[in-house]
Amino acid sequence: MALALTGGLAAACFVKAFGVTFLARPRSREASEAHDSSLLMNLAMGSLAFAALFLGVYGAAATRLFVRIAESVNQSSIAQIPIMSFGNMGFTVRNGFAGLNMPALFLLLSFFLLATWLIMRAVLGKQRISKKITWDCGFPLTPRMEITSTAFAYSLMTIFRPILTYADSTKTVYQDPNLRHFVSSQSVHLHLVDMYMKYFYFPIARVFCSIARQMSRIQNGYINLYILYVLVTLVALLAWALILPQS
Amino acid sequence: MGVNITPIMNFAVIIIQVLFVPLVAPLIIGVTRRIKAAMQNRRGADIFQPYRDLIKLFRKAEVLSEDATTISLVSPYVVFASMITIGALIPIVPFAGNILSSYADFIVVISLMILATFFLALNGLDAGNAFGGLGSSREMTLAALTEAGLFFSFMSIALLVQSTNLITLSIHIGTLPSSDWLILSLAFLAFFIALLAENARYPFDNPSTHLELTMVHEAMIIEASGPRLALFEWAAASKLLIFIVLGANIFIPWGIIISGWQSLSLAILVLLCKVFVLTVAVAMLESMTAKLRFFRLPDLLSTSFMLGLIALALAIF
Repeated sequence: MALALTGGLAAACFVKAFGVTFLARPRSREASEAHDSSLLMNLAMGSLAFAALFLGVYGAAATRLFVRIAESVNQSSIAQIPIMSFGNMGFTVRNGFAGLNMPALFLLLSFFLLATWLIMRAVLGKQRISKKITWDCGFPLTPRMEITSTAFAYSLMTIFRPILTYADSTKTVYQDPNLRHFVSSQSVHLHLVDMYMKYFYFPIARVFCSIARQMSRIQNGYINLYILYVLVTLVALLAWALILPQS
Repeated sequence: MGVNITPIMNFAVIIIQVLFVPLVAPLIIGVTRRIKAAMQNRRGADIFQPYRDLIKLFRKAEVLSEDATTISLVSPYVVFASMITIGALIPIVPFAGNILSSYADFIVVISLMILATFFLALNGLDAGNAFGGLGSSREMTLAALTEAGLFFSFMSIALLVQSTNLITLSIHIGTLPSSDWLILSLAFLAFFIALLAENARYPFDNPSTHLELTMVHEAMIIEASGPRLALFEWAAASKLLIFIVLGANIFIPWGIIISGWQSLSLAILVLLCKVFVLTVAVAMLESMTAKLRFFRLPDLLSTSFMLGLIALALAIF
């Protein structure tokens, strides 16, 4: 259920990750000199991508294999769990409350995809495609006009402002600092504050740090002091040993 | 059910399921535009104009951006094929014997819509047009927020019927006791807000704008032309029809039991009437409301979310 609610956010995230990285014009000189890596590297990544697609489509069959491994360890049968059952092709939750048959859906989607393409090809013939520049409203489109990942996420960040706090700072450099008329450069920095870091991990870390600081007072690295500790401990033990047998 | 179901009829149902959405969708757009024109004291084009527009676009030669990658080439097909797939799955003529019906889970349908939105947004980013990027950003923001309300509204009904299968839902919705109608109406309101948001209608987006600063859906397809633009437009029209059919056959439980040829044709007739009523509702609403500022939209979407949540809570207890 949580997965169904966050599906849209996940899609937004991957549009951002893929789109901003690979699509549109290069936003920096480094990116404009990017080129494809060698065939072997592509093959390695491609096989992983293919495996991801395969697991997505044949997830149910893969789950059955994993269940077998889990059963061999656990001895009891997991397949008996009534809440979810796996066929060779799909999942069923709670005796038909919900079902998912990925291979069939994949096949259906591919079929319609192919059919659309073939019908368009048959009816329209070979398409005439001409390459022209991107519409730029008369101004030459520069890399600075391309959307960046910060800009892409800005509206979501603004909407979730109560939970996602971000720090933004604007820095303006003037050509003449005394006469603030002509701006030579202006930059905006947006920095998303990590809520888990700020309100969960950092407070815990701070507690441990303060304990550690107290500890460092007795652990200050002087060998003389450590010998004193040993002496004090020995004397204390001796005193204890003297008192203990009497009681 | 299962009285006069022959293989031929099963085949006919599948054909209707696949062809209904793409064939009727432009008509819905035409009717909406005609009603809006009438509300604005204009004559307006006749209701078949969107078909002519599509044919015109399909005949045109195409211009692609120099910056465009394979994404621009492929995404119109993916978006369109997703809509056809959803059209084949949803209960247009709800009929349990249909072989596709066992796959028609509402979570699948929502996911397929996200797939289409995903490729649409990538298409917006692809050519490097500044408007396209903004459109994609806005669309993904809206999609992420709309989904929760849509999901909850379906989930509450799924709990009533004890199935997430859309065909089962639409068949059994009529048998629910009238005490459940409160849940049904709350869920319908949540669904209706999501319908407006997902289909770039007022108050979320102006479907006919080409003003760069305000557009969402149009911004993403601004670089598309010719047959590819036609596919996008057709897919958008199909999406509207899909939502309207879902609203008609899931939330308005009349005239959807099919047992033979006669009831099949009757069901299609009733469906067309319901679709017409909902289309008029969308068009009237569009004529009477103003477009909201983008950052006011979350208020409306959270209304949809809360309505869905209330319906879900009522359905659970």
